[in-house]
Amino acid sequence: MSVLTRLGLATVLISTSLVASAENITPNLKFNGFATASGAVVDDAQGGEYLKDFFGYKGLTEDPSFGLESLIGLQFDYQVNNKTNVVAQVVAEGRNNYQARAEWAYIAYEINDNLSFRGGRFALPTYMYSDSIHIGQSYPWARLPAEVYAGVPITNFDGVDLLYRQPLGDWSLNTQLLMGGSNTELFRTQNSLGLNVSLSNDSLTLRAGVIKTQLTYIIGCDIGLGFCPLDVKEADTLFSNIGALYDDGQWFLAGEFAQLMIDGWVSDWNAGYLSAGHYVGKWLPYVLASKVNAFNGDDCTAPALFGTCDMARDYNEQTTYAIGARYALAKNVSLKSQLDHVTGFNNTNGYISNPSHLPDAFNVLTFSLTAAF
Amino acid sequence: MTIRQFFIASALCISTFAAQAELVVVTHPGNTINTLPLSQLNRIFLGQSSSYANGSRAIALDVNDNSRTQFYREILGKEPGQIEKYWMRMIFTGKAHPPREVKLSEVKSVVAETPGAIAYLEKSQVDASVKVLKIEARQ
Repeated sequence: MSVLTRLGLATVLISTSLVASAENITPNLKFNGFATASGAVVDDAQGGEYLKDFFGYKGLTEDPSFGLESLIGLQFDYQVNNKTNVVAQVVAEGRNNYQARAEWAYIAYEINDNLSFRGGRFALPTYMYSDSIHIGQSYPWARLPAEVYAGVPITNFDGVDLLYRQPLGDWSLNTQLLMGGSNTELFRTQNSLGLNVSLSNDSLTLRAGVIKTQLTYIIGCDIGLGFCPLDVKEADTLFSNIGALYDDGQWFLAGEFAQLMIDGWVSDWNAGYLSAGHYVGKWLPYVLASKVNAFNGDDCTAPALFGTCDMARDYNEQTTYAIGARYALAKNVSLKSQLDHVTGFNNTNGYISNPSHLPDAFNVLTFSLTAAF
Repeated sequence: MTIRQFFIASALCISTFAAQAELVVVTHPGNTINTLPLSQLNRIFLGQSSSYANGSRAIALDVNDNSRTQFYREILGKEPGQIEKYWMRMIFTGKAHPPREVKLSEVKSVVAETPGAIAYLEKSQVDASVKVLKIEARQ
């Protein structure tokens, strides 16, 4: 199916959704949708591609892209009875030729007002915005800071979780405990155990979380390296994250810090971002700085073929300084523009794939339209 | 009563805004509770709680007219923009959905026939088919 036909279908879907979501199909089935139309261009992609997906989908180059970071999604919520509902979220991304895939599909059971239990596939709660990772409307930037958010290449997992919420006056304490794993074409995680806690009121959210898992690479030998990177089998992995978000309709302040540590020769990293913005009428101009720093833990036992730990790691460092603005076109529709200055590679490739030389600083210009309905 | 006492007493009352009609919170007549803390009213309308103190089910209803903005702004202390942003986050994190919306002409009949229903009405509209709940503000 051609891209245009897919886009045409997407448009029909959006228009019918706009009508349908005004009245639910039945009182028990609600559906909502979201979409992002994004165009971006890099002034000098260093002979390669920028932000190429971990799974090999195309990245950004000097040729303006109008579909790569675009997507459309639908979310269904079916209330089976007072205590049970079934939620599914289907996403079709431009980088993947708009092939629809199930991002979430789970059953939620409300044990009581404070406690609920879920089973199925749901968002991997790595970061503060993980729950709404595809919903451009939920954050002001043209894309979630890559230095932090691209560090973990999966966004969902299969398993069970327990959600506990405790009101504390004006505040709400939310805790999530999860167990499960993920399976992708390139790697698998198993025996994952995660815990996150967030404390929030009307304007401020404070969050901290950890996820412990075992990582196995299932990449074959034919990846052009000349040897097999077999040495990642059930490697103990620990991901940790803290974040804070303040938004009172006047000021927007956000920051997160994350760290991923994997036993063995796969490099570890830590990353963070800070952003500040100020609402001026329908505008929200903002600044954003983000950085990722890779390092190798002391437990580096590089396979003999690699020689040294430095050569063994697939490691990237980069820093982005961005300035942008979001304009509220309508209720739940925004127009965003952002200019990124990407630098600080420290003799690594950063997030440029297959560059012809070690990257020098470059810039990215992005425009996007986001909607939720 | 001193001026200060007068203002404190007024602050403890939920109503008295001269320009608009006074809104009251109403529920199904069979609901055994008579009062509701403001914080619980907030939680029910924000989808963070679905029961009353006695454990029975609470079903929030939003009215499809101007009284909705008045209710959120004056009784819950929240601006429309805040509420829109809040629900967008809640829906798309699979956590909750906004209250069911009813037309102004239907509010009373829906509340009267739905055990646990809770909504808001102009005081002058109230009759025996619905029960008025007293909202307890924070001290």
